[in-house]
Amino acid sequence: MNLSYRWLDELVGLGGRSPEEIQHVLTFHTAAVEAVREVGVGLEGVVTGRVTRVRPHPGADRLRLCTVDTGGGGEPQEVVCGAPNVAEGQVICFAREGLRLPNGMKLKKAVIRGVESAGMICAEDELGIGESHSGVIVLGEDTPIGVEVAGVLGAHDHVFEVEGSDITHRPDLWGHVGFARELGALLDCEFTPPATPLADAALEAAEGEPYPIEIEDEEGCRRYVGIVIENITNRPSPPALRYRLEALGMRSIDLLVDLTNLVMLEQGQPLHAFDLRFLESGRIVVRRARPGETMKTLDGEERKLVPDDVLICDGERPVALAGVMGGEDSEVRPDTTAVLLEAANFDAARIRRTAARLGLRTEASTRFEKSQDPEAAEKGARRFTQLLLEHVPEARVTHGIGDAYPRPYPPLDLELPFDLTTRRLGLKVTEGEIRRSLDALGFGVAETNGGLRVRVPSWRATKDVECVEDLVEEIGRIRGYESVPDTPPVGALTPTRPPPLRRLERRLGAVLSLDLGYAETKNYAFYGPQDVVRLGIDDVTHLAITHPITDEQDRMVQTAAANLLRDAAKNVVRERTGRLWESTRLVAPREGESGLPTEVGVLAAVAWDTAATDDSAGALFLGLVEDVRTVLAAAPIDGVTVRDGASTALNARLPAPAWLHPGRQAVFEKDGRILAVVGEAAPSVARAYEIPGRAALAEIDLEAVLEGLGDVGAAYVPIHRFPVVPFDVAVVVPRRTPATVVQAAIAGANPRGIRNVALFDVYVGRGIPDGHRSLAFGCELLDPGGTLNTRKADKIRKRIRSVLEKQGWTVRAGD
Amino acid sequence: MLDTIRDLEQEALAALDGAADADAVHAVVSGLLGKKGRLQGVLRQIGTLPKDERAEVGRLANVAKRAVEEAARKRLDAFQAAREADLGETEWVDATLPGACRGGGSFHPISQMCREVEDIFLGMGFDLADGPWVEDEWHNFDALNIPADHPARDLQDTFWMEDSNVLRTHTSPVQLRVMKAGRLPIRVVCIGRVFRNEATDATHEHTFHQVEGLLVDREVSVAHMLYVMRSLLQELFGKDIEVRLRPAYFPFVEPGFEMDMRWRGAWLELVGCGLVHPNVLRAGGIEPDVYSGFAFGFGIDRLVMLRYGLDDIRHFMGGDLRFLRQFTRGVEL
Repeated sequence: MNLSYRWLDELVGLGGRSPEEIQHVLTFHTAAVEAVREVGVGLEGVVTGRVTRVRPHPGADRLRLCTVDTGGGGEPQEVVCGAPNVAEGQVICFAREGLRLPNGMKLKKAVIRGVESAGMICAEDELGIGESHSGVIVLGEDTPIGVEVAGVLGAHDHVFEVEGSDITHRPDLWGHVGFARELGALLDCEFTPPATPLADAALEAAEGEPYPIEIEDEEGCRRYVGIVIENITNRPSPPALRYRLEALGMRSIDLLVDLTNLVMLEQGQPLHAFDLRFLESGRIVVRRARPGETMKTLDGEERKLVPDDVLICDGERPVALAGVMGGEDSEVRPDTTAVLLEAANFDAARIRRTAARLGLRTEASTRFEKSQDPEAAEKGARRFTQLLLEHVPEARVTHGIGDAYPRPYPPLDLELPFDLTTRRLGLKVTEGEIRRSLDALGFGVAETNGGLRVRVPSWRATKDVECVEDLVEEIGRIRGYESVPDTPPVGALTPTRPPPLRRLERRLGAVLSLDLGYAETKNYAFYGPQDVVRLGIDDVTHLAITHPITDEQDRMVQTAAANLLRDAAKNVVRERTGRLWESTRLVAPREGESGLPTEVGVLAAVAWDTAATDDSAGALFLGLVEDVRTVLAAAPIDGVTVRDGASTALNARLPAPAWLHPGRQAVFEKDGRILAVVGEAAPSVARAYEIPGRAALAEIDLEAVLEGLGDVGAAYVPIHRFPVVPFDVAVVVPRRTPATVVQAAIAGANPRGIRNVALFDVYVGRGIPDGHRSLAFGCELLDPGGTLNTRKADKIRKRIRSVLEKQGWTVRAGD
Repeated sequence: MLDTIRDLEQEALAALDGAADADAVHAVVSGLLGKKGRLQGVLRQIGTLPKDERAEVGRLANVAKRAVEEAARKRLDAFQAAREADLGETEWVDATLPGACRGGGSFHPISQMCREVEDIFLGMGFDLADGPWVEDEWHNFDALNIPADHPARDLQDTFWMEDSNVLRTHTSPVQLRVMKAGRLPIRVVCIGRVFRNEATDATHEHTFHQVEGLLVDREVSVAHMLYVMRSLLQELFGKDIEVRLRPAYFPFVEPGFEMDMRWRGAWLELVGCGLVHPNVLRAGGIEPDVYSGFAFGFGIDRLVMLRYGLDDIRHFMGGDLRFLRQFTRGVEL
């Protein structure tokens, strides 16, 4: 929304306050003025003049010699002019030689085809206030001559820019009158809306019956006002009107169209003028569009309509898409002589849907979708009539005002206790100030017991003001919030710290970032069909986005793998190895017909090594397994078992990790619940994501870890003060027997007498049968009650040996 | 035999005096005192002596042994002292050589800011809460006083899901989840990811992070809100910032404000805030005649960009280690 400083000044009287002051006042009390733009600058010295004589140029057919009187008894100026429309008697804009014009042109004394020219008669573009170069600007005949044109045209102005989103709740601020009323209240000066005496008198005197209006679609149309005006000569608008419209960002068309727009900018009420010649049935019908119906809007487009659209019809035939755009075959033209002026009020939601569906956001639809005041319809119609009669005195209002008003808003009264404002703002506001502020904004105020009964004015009552809190805001913003003090809230002291899940996330994140050297990244929660194919999980239902930004981000992720591999791929050029982690959520669609999907909070990690093309030992994978073990230990969580993964999903609702290397997967579990899945990316998947070498992936289910959390207080075990005996044992086992199984067997041989069982060597080679490995473990033997004697030590060693051999394993060495 | 022992002792002491290094010392000692040493050899013949002489021989052998051992120890100490006399030169190491630390770890700058903001609010007695990323329309819109035909629900602003839920467009739905939990008074913040259906460029991201705050109690006013917001911003940006309130429109607050902060000479629009709209309190099961509250929301990403002078919001979700590893200074834990 653009606002003219000059126009506001005309409406309310700004008392000489600068545009910057007004910007500040509006920004801190009404709505942010984002920018102030000065327009029509650099016209100093360009004055009005009268063309007293026009003669042919002796040396050129298309040029003429004009004599210009610039008043004040000065010498007449001789000017060479090429414009076709220049004529004797016109009042024009004269720029004397030596001036610099707003378009950058410096006027030098020129000799044109042998004739000296003392200056220039200006066209619009030369004065920087329009684009037209088709002819010189012709001012009204009664314009005084010898005065600065900047003043005459009203061209010098400041335009305030207000973001539409900042006034979306205020239908009344979509016209200058609304802002003028605000300024009246803020600057403490009287605001009177523009009067319409000519229109009122003409409508009173009109003898013809009002134009018939039938509203069938009362939901879509609250009110429809129609006025017939005849005997009009349509014409280009006078320059001052044109400049005002253009400065505010609207294109000038002709007087009739320009006046509808001017009234809209003034009152906020959109208007539409039909050429009466093209209304054949003699009645206006407002109805829903029929299925399959079409109409051609005045931009020449054939529009397909749906029953949600509100149509203005000439009898049966659609002539306007209500609240959005008029029809092509009934719009006013240069030769229009009679109009039916429409000033209506349409349902905000319906207009918004139609405009959105057709991608046709117009000045009118933008206003109607804010819930305009239906009372403004009649005001707007009368204002248009007034202005038309001022510009075209011979125009005739022949019929009374047609007004179908099926759905007025009921009056809205609010009971405002005097103390509420002070309590809500935390700032003392007196009863007098409350009364004055509301009154200045047009609210009706009547005193009741301990407060006020406030009647909301029609222009605030369509959706904007609906409860007493809204009134508190009115009073607060008229006062301004600079004087609100800082007051600490007071309340009971209660312990606050992050909830358990957040604390767990913080602890584990710290292990990853600080202890283990992972860099934290963040990825979108989306991926696309290509990822699903690459990962091999196309049989799993994803939660899809109906209008994704790109097809490659059209669904919610069910694994962090794709985005982490993409991250890795971005970095492999510069980083031979790298480690990243992120905290994110995996989304499984809901199971029933309603409710929300399941979100699984995970910590996910990727590690890569571009040099590890032939990684027979699986060092990268094992490193990540070890890191996950470290992370889980820090949770802290005890009793975790690790097993070969065999394509196990993190969660039954999530896909099995088809993207992992079939021989390199590990699953961390506690009491049958899966805590984490770790694996190397299958070589084909790494290639698909363009990662040379190897990459490994991990996902840790935070909720599962939280459920399995150990008791921090149970960690202390008294220090064993007696000597222990170290013991090493090497066992030959089948190749795929997990080390953890052997380790557990050793530890289990005598749980109280054996501790710190740790693998220190894996050997395959001479002396070991094919398909077998030798695993060497170290441990400590002890007697929990005292010093371990030789007899007891021997007994434990024998026990270990027999336990291992019972498994069918060969004990290679044990001493 | 006594003389033999004395001779052996003298001989050993002389040899120790002349020993060139520790090995020579050890050779002398073991040559005399070892299992096959000469002293041992002499003592093996002790059985040939008369009984009354044996004690004297034993005593003398012990004296000789202690003397030799003492001399050997002194000699070894001397060698060690000589060796360590010039450690500064002989064992000098370049202390500026790089260490073998694993390193390279870092926290995302957004996470760091989240953490910092969380801690500030925890310190002021606020709890933390969060809600789902995929929200239902009621929590994301209806209950927040955003009616069915409000422009905020447009496709270009909201990610609609096939199950007719939405990706939360703000953290405000968490307000409702907390209110419905039914414990009053409420002091809570939610920091989390939000989503808007718009194309990304240097200043726009479809996925970003917001802080939502809510305080509901009896007689809560704008003045309380101003105190809390100013305190937060001062903690983050220093005591010398200024703040100011401007009227602004958000459907879920009434009155509503935009809070600006003056920092390094410029006014920045930072926080949307206001008193919780009575319709929102009602939707949360709270009686607006008895309780009032304030709510606020602001973008974490924006604060991070301000703090570090970042020029492109897309770095945050870009996964580039050159970016991610820069933010390791002054991490709050």
